[in-house]
Amino acid sequence: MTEQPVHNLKETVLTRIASEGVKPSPKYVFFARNVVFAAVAFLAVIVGSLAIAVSIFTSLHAGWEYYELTHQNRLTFTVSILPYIWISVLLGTLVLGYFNLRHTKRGYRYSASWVFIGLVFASTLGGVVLYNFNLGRVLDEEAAQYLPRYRSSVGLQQDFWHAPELGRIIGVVSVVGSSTIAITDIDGITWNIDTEVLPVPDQKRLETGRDVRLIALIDQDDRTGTGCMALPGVETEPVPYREAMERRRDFKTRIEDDFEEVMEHFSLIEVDKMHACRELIEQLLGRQSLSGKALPVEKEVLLAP
Amino acid sequence: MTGAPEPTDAEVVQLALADNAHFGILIDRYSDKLRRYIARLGVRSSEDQDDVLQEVFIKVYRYLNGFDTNLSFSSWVYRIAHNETMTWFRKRQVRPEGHLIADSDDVLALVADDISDPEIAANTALDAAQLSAALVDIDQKYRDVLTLRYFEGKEYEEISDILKIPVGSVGTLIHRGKQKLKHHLQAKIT
Repeated sequence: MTEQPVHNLKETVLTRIASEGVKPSPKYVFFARNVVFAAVAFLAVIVGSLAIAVSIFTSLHAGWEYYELTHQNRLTFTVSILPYIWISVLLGTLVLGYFNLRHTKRGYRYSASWVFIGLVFASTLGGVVLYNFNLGRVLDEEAAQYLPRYRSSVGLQQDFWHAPELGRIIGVVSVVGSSTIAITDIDGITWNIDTEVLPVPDQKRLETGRDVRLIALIDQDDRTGTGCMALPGVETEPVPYREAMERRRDFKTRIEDDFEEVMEHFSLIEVDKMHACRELIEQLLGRQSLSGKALPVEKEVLLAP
Repeated sequence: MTGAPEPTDAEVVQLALADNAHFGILIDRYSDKLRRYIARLGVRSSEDQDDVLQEVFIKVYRYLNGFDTNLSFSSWVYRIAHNETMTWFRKRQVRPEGHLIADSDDVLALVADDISDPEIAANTALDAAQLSAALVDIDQKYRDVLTLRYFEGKEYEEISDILKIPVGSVGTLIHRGKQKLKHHLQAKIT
């Protein structure tokens, strides 16, 4: 190998520097480059935090208290409420954050796994903080307003519950009578519902103007029905976690109640309705129907006091 | 009589920023090392090495303000040389033309001790041609770290700074690279 003498190379390089007017790039160019990469990485963490804040919000306020009435099991419910858009956004920000951190001055020194763990940790921490500042909810609502196919947490629950053909109605109580109510669903259709067999706590819930979720034996042709279960509606204001847990406990207790005992306080007609209600609820819960069980018709039943 | 101590690379960088005539000191200090390194990366013709070296030093001069004094100047200049050589290969759409392996028997012996295993050593003495051929067969990523580690004598941290990869990855790549090299050497010998 023949080597060019060093002085020749030096002369050539120095001559080229002079003749081509090569100048050292200003310091600020390198500084700005580094700042841009760091800033984009930081921005990625902020966006990732927002994605996590919305994901926390939509997961906690997805109506899991009563999921058995709308979904086959916990898995199908989880699959249907997963915030796929926000998970995609989070993944995108992780990639963007990683790429930009790697291009900062010292970013290459950290292994990919540590950078990812760091980004996930920072985004999660940021997400929890932003969620506590209610940004999860705000962004969820804003996204529903501006993104064409986006369903907010409220919208998603309305989708789950708006199924009159299956016995689920979601809407606002428009009129309250002595033993009937009128409920206007999210399509603006008014249903006249008999409330006779509804338990007292459910009846108390039926005040004019209140949002409710109702399980009812529906006659779709004349838009009437028999109310079987009235649950709190999907409020725009998110339900605090503790209250949601309480609702969940109440609901679980209710669906595991000794039904026969409850029916002892009702008239024969009401018992029939209650059995029909019970069957409907059992169907929605995906359990074996009680229809196989003998109805306690021979039993002397008492009129409700 | 001892003269004034030579300025460090970082000091020369500051001098060169003030007056480009001082840049010649850096060229004097690094041109031979970088020429060998470029040759090891596979640029074999002397004219091509000149071309690449010129571009390397022009870039070094242009980026002087971007030199991070927390790094060693040597690592920084090797990084530029490495990137410039890869760009040269890409532009020419050529692959490295084999590798300049051993400058001396000492280097070869070091490589043989660390990379070769007793079986290979018992069968035949490792020579530069075999090692060169085996190096060509392994992936670029392994070749890069092995070249820097064994032929340029760089520490893990320096290799990390030159190739812009985590220090942990340097260790992993060296370990896997040695395995691959061993495998290829065995295949060539047997």
